Amino acid sequence: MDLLQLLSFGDTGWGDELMRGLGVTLALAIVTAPIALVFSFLVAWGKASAWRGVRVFSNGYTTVFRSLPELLTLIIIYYQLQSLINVVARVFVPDANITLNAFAAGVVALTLVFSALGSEVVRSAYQAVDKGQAEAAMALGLRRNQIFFKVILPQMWRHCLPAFGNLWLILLKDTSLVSIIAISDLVRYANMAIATTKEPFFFYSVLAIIYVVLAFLSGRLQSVLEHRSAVNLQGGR
Amino acid sequence: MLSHLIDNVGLWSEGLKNTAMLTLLGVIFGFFVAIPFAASRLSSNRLLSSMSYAYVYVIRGTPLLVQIFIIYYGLGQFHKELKAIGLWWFFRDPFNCGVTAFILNSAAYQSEILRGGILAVPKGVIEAGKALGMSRVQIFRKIIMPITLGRMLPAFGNELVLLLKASSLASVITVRDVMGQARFIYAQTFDLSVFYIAALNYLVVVLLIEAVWRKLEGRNIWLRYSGGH
Repeated sequence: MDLLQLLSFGDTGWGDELMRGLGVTLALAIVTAPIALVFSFLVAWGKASAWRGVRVFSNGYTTVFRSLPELLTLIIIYYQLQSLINVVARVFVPDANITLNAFAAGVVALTLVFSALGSEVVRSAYQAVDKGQAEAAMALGLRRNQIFFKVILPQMWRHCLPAFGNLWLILLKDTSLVSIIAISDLVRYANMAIATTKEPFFFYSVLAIIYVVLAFLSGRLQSVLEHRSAVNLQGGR
Repeated sequence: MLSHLIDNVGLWSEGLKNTAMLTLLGVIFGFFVAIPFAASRLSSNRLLSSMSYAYVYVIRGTPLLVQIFIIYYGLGQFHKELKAIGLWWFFRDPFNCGVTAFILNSAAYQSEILRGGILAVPKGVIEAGKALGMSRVQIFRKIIMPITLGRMLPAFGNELVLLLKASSLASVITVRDVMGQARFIYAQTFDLSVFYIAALNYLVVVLLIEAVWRKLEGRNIWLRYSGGH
């Protein structure tokens, strides 16, 4: 099969290019995930805020970024951030023309989307923790942030895990959209390979296999983590 | 910003029509494709159930963008063979390819929804059906299906919204849905506000669907009864 030769590493094959693309895809997901996680908590916190303005903003944020297609969010962020940065830069340097790093735009857009989705997960996990826990901690005289970080948060983790695992999988797949704003991820390298070799079916099938393998590995990791998070509960109740 | 909306009202309404068609055809046909998948997933035949599990796993594990590319560009590679069996006219059109991808994609997700719903039907009502002397088909059609569908209503609403958002990917293979029109007008005017108009379109449609669904779910509260107690 000379098709398999197309995947070899080196000058003739596209194996090394695809691996480089895979690296970019993974980097994008791995950089985005922790930032989106932190923002998920902040937005969820905002939804429970005592201030009405903060509540409205957090709920609106979630509604907007949950409703818009990820592709649209990505394109808006990519172009709009670029022109915003240039507007600001031109205040200082009249003829500034800064080109925004597409990778950064990708991270910002995916963070917006996934913090909106994640905030819903955090909120329901927070509600899943028994109110009595917080009351008991209060009775013991713990401060508010102690109650959250030492009592509530460790128990939320178990409830968050399945949904966060699901979001991670969606994030991995959504990184493919950045190929449209010219980031050299897996899909873009495949497109380049296809432009030269004219073998779309083969290369897109290879992509599908790579993504399925990533999904499989993520699933394994998730079940290990879920198993661990339930260890303390075994035998109880 | 408004001038782009008013000047191109024809383009935008055509875009909305295409987006609606892509989404509805995907969800509706996806549902019918999902039924055999859910049934074989639940069947006691190991081969059948593992095949449909594999299908769902692959579809859920790969980006929809790649699935669309496989169908549009990948099948295009076999245009001679497709011509021979008389299917080329169908797969030549990007809209048809988009719809096919959405049907196959949505079927996988909907079969999982159906499976979960069928498994959650309380044993007691099935036994009651048997006690009344209903046949297996009758029990499925008159007892299991109505309860499953009513129960799964929120999940189906969610799937509808997800597919609506996903339908924007059809713009990548030159379908002129809302997203496609936005990209088309942007290519001529280089005015970013067209994307905000598109965003507004999607936002309004999603909020409408959610409002309709809240109404529908309100009428089905009796279905939350889970038997027992």
